[in-house]
Amino acid sequence: MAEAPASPGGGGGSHESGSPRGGGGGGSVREQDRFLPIANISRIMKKAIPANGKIAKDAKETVQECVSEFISFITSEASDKCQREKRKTINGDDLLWAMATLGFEDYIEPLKVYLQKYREMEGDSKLTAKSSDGSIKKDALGHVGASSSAAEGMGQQGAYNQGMGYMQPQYHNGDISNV
Amino acid sequence: MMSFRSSSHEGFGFGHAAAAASGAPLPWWAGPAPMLSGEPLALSPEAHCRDGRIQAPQGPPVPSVKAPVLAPQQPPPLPERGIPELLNLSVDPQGKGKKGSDHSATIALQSPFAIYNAHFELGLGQSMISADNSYADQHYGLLSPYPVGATPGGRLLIPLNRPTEAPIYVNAKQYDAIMRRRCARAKAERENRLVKGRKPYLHESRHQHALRRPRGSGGRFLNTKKESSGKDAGGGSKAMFSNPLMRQVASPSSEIQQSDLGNPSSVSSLSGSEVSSMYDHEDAGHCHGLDHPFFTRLPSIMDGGEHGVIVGNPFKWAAASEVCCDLLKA
Repeated sequence: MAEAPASPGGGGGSHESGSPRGGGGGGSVREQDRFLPIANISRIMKKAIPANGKIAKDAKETVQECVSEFISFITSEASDKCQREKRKTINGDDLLWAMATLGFEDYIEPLKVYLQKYREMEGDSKLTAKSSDGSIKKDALGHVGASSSAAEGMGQQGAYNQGMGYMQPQYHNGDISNV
Repeated sequence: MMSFRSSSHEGFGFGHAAAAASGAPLPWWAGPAPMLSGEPLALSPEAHCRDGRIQAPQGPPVPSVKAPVLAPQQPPPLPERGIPELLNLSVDPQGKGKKGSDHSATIALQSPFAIYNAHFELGLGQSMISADNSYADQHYGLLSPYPVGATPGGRLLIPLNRPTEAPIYVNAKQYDAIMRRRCARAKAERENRLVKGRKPYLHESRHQHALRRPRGSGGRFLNTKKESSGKDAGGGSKAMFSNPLMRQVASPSSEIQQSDLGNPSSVSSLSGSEVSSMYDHEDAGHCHGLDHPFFTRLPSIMDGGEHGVIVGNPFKWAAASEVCCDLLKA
């Protein structure tokens, strides 16, 4: 009873602090802006181990850094392609092209299927940035080592940033354990 | 110096098969930085990058399907910047290593970044030594793979920032992207945009709240309804929670995770008894490996939440006894 008022307040505070995303030059970037949430990564890693298995904290942190760098790796390649073609929005096809260019051909086939089904479900009225997020989600579902949450790649694309900002509240509402 | 430079140019031209001018390496290297920082892009880097993209897939006859091998390693704070680079590299000895040396030499010669150039100078020293020793071998290595056309999965030699370690071979398709990512990380580090180390917790208020919560024997929180139910693998389909229930479930998990993060550091000293309690738990953890109960806390809470919705009370107590047995075994 006594803790009931405190918990919603804490949750609200977390939500408020999570929504505004400070970035760019100048100040130091926060940990949650550079890495994916470690709770989601831990949950995905748990699916691949036995029921009585345990994962060390440094293992989770290592995988967190790996998947975050992988996302930046793919996004950087896709971003270069968009800049060459004078486009501002990275869509799912750009990420698939980037993976093919970098030698991840095995990812293309399952991600194409996922992207097609995702677009059929969401319809054509949705933003293409959401398709990009869906593509990364498929990566999480299909392969170990990725994470199913809003991608935090490079933030130099305006529309991409807006897409992330739009996705952020839904992510907070949907996720139970918030780092 | 001139002969070495010309050799680098020949290797570079042969690799991309499109750059004919001697000034091509400079735009190729200077291009990524403005792209990353969002500055306006020049025309020649675009053309060069486009040519590179067009030629890159066609260059290797047999496309390498192997994904980069990630080496599991604990990230210490000092060489933190080197770990991601290592993790993205794939080791595979091939005849194209010398070609990679040429690339590194060209990049080092043309690099505009002072700090990054300093790092490359060390690698450049190694490359120069190897080049001087085996000039003819370098040419032979560059020429032989292409006519044969049967080389499986071409690999390029990539220089490391630490000269003491052996060079690492990576996928040829990823070479340019890895170099670009290194520049981006170096630039972010110079602009002080990278976070050094990890903070034990993200929010001070939550940390304070976790410190104030009463704890029982073993360091676990008291008055936790979800903790009584046991851990179960695979909760089945995820049930839809209402808003109040979701908040009740979410907050304990976050708080418990923060307490896990806060225990090793014990930064703040709110009260002596709590601090001494934390120190005792830390010592106990070091002696008897008590970290396992801490790690099992989060899934226990989450599974408890799910079971609270699905299963009734009797199963909770049985599961709790199972958890106690697991704790005793561990």
